[in-house]
Amino acid sequence: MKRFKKIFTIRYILPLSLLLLVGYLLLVSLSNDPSKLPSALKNKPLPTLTLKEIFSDRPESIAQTIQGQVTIINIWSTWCPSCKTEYPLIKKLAKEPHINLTSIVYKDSRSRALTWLSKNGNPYQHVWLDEDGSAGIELGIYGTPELFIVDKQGIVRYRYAGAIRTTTIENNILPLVGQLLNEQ
Amino acid sequence: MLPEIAIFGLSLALLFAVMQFILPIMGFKTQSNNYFVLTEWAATLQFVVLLVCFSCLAISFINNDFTVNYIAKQSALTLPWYYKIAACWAGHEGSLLLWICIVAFWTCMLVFFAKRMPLAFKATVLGILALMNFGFYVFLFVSSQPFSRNFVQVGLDGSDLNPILQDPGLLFHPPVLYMGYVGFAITFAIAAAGLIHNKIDQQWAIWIKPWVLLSWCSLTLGIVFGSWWAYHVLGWGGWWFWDPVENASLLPWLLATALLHILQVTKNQQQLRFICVLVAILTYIMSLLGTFLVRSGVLISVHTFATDSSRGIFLLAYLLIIATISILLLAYRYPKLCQKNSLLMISRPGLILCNSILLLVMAATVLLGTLYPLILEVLGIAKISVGMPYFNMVFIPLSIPLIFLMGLAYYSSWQGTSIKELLKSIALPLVIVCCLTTGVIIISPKTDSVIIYLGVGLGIWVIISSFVYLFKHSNIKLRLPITLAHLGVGITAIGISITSHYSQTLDTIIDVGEQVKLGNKTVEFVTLESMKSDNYRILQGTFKYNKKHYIYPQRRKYDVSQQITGQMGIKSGIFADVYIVLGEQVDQGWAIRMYYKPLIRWIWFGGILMFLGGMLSLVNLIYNKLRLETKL
Repeated sequence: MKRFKKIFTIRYILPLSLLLLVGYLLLVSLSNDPSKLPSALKNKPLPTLTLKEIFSDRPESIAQTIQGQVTIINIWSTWCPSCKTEYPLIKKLAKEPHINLTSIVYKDSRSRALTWLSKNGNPYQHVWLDEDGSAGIELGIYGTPELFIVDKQGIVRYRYAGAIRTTTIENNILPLVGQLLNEQ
Repeated sequence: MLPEIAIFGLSLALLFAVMQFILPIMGFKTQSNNYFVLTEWAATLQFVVLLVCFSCLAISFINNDFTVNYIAKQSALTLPWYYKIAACWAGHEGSLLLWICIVAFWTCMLVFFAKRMPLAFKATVLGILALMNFGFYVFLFVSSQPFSRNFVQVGLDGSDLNPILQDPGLLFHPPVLYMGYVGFAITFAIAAAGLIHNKIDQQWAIWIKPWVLLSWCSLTLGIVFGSWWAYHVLGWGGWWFWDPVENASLLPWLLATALLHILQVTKNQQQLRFICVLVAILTYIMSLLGTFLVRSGVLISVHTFATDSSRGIFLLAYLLIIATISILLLAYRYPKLCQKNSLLMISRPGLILCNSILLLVMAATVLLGTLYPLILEVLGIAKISVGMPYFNMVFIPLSIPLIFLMGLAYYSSWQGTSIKELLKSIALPLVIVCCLTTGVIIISPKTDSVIIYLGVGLGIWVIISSFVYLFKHSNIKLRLPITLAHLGVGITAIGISITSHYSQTLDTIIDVGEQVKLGNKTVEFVTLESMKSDNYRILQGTFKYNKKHYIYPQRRKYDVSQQITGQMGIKSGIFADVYIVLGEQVDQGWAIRMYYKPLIRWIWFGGILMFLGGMLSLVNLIYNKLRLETKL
């Protein structure tokens, strides 16, 4: 009888606890966002990029333009559906205080980007154009949209791949920007 | 109007599903067969209604009804009509609808074709299926409704189907793969019903077999399509990438292959009943796990569905419920099912069991490799991805005994064979295999990689053994399916060995009029011209390979999305493919990548043979059944 009881428990408990373990693993990994890619650039200076500012159509150095400020750089394009989805949130982000929001238009034409900005509104302080995607290679991006945060020394501190969500702004972007603003 | 009809239809289908679940319960309570017959009706009607819903989606796609969000996202005015239909399953919502439709389709098939199953048992199976489908209906209605509309955006032209998906592969690969994936729901239901009715015996093995075969065939064909699609569209020249999603389809395939073989043993002897029903259930759970991994976005893969964590939680909950119920059922029946097995190792059942275990181990290693990055991440150790090297390292050592035993099983008998007899019967075939392999070694370019020759040798061993098996006995009709499927394995093995070792890649920059050498043949860049198609512009290069074959790689720029894709130029042949990718324009010309891929077609040809073997086996089953019925 004792032996029977032992087998009884083992054959129920063992597979069920294994399942529980796997379930827990999968549940936890659900909240781990795979889009938080560790960037090769993290804690390294932003590469020297010279791109055309979209309105003046004149090349300028990004690092020089954003020097001394905590800057968010959003990489987007007009052909990317997720960029369209995240656009309202980007606009909301731009309205937050102390946010210096800039962007790079990736693999796109000037005219299309300008049309987009005039149609949907322009939340960005600067918009640069990376027509052939070479700056994208320098930055090592996976696709659009992607978002970088650069500190006052011009060092990349954060990278996010994919369309941002409200939670991303509240839990990651705003706290980090606040922290970086206080750094000397 | 059509989307509203479809939503009404979906609700109606949900109602039928609920009936399909409740009616059998009432039947068991009142002991009346009428309820069981009604269950069958509910299942049939559910399928009919769903078919209407799916047609509504397809027609809305063709009519460019961009007020439907899903259509605005997946289609465009200029998209050709056949891609509009295929776009039905190109995104998450539509493919979920397809999933439900296919479950209903298989259920309907079960109603009409599983004539030998007793009514009560069949009703149980239908009830379980309804319960399983019910979960997906809830999923569809709550988070992934394909017919939701937005009247504000009217006037849009649609954001176009992802250009990478605009390929004939999309027409076949997802539906065929789903037929397989989803088909395992039927096997699961039959297995669970068997456990409930305590009827896991030879008869049960006969009932379940055609459904396993059908799903296995579809899955095999689906994987072959997928591999071929990836090869000709992605431009990496590979045919298998160990991507999490590919692994997700390989897992149920390995398990189903093991299941088919174990069933063969169970059908003849009462042994292995527990492991048989266990594998039947695991196969479906692996299909679900695969779906979870793909849809929830926990792993990064080339098959990106728009991800959303609420979907992940839903699928996970579904998976865990199904798994818990299965474990409880299995554990409850375990003492009855488990017998002392006295299986002779050197007999056909022994060898088949051996190989089935090898297949299960393979599945376990694939599962581990797929989940390993997740485990590390959860433990906070590192962020890694497990790739080619791991899988090659564990897969090759497992495949070698697998393929060898596969050939060996042909020479053994069901009752057991003595080692002496076995050695005597394999002596001559082995000599032939050695001679042929030596021949291959002599004619092929020198290399010191032994594993390649081992692979080729094993491939030849299976092929020779299959022919010996086919012609040694009289009943060819019965043996042909088995022979075909295993011939396929041999041919695939040879293809994989050769192509993975003798492929050549060349990255170069050349301009129009110039020549390069690929291996010992010349490739000339003849011309470059631009053209226009329905929804994209084409830049097409013309290359001349070996002074006689023309190859036309393209770059396409899609009008709506402005996305650029490459269309590979492939000259395919029985013995080798030449594969050219037209890259970007650079200062001195064009960046070109070329591949020489010997015997790559053999891999898919082998897969198709396996599929044909499975289908023929099914035809045999049906034929035998008909003959039996006419005799009675």
